Amino acid sequence: MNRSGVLVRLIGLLAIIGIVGTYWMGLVVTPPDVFQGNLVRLVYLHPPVAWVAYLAYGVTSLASIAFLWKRTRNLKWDRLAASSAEVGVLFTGLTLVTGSIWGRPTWGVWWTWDARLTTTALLFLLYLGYLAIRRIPGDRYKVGTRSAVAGLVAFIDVPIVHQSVVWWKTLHQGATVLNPSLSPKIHGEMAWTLLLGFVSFTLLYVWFTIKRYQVASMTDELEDVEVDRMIRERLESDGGVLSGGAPRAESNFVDGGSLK
Amino acid sequence: MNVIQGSDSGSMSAPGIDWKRLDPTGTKRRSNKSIKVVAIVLFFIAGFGFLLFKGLGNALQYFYTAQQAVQMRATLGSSTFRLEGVVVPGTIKTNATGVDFSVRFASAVVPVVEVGVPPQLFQPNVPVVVVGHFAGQVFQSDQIMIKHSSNYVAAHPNRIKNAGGGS
Amino acid sequence: MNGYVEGGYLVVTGGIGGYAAWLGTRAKKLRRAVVVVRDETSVQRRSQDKS
Repeated sequence: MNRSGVLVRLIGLLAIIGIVGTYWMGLVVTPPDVFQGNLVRLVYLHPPVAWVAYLAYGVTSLASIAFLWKRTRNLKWDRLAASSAEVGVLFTGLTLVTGSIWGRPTWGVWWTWDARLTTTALLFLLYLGYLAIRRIPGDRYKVGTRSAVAGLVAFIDVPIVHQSVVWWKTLHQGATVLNPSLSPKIHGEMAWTLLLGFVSFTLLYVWFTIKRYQVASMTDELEDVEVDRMIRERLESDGGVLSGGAPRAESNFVDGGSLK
Repeated sequence: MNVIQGSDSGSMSAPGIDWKRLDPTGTKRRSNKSIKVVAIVLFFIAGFGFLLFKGLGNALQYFYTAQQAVQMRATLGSSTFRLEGVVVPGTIKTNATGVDFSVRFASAVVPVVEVGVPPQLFQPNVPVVVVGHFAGQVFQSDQIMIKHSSNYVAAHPNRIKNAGGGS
Repeated sequence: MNGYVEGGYLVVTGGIGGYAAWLGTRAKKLRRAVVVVRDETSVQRRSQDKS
């Protein structure tokens, strides 16, 4: 295995060790909270998972800018934007579910339409829409441009989600660490566990995104080969007019639901 | 997707050849696909519309503080809204149908009559959001939500359990 | 603990585990397909070069 392959494995391994460590610290080592009791243990998951969603969409935006900028225009950036956004959608989904599970026993409701929850639901839908737009077929550079613009528009919601608890009255509490006064409201081993959670889930994000990127570039490569083959077969047969559906049977073998 | 479909039988292809006729399976696949596309587009329109409706209707003015509610009592009338305040210690009285208590914000105190079981973290001194409407001098509520803070403090088993009710 | 905490940890584990498994199998399949296709195209290129 080459050096970058080893590095990717190492990142994955560290992510898993870190997450297991977070679970251990969060479920066993840390004490209950004076107010929430054991329910506080969900704080070691929910904010790190939400942070990864922000991070993923941030990377999607930067990659989208790099793709749109003529001097750095390269399909690699489009692939990175797509991969990161997909991981972001997964983590936004997990944010919504863990938040709901935490909300039921602490707030008393699974869901409420306050600004934080509503804008987060919007975030989820926006990036689902981004992934849907990506699937509209077309020339790869056209798809890339279209998606990059959509990705940047969707990102407008990220700062709104984060600031929603400051700008509006919400049921959701303010940020524990990244609050306006930047003074963490958690201390001791609880704070260390939260930090470990942030680091581990960030590593997991990096690992997932690299893996997803590799899947995307292999899919692209296979598609290129497939297109080549179809063109060649058309040229080889009678002027190509009657061979419209012929190569499809073969292409199914490599193309089980690709990102086209 | 429709654009591509249109161009297949249109000016892009060789003259005199109807591509759809030549490839009936392809046509079927395309019509299934366009139904799917329409369904997806409708899903997103409905989703964004729903969130916009919910956001404008709830999130912008999620609750009134007890103080605001008292000031706006005349305009609020008997309409349903969310009321926020801290549970005043010593006012909680549990009864057969639910619980009576008062919430306070700044100097304004509003008595609340709750029908239903309060959440497990309900206790004195905790900020709550109650859903309901004014009925005379009291606020008639059917739901209590606990608005806990983002402070996390280790409980020390050796000390007094739950000193001051947190928040 | 109280059901909710366990539920939250299980959901996160299931979510990331499921995605990791999906990525893993997809990457494996694609890698195999890429190898096959690379072989095929090199064979075809060679035969085209000859003609």
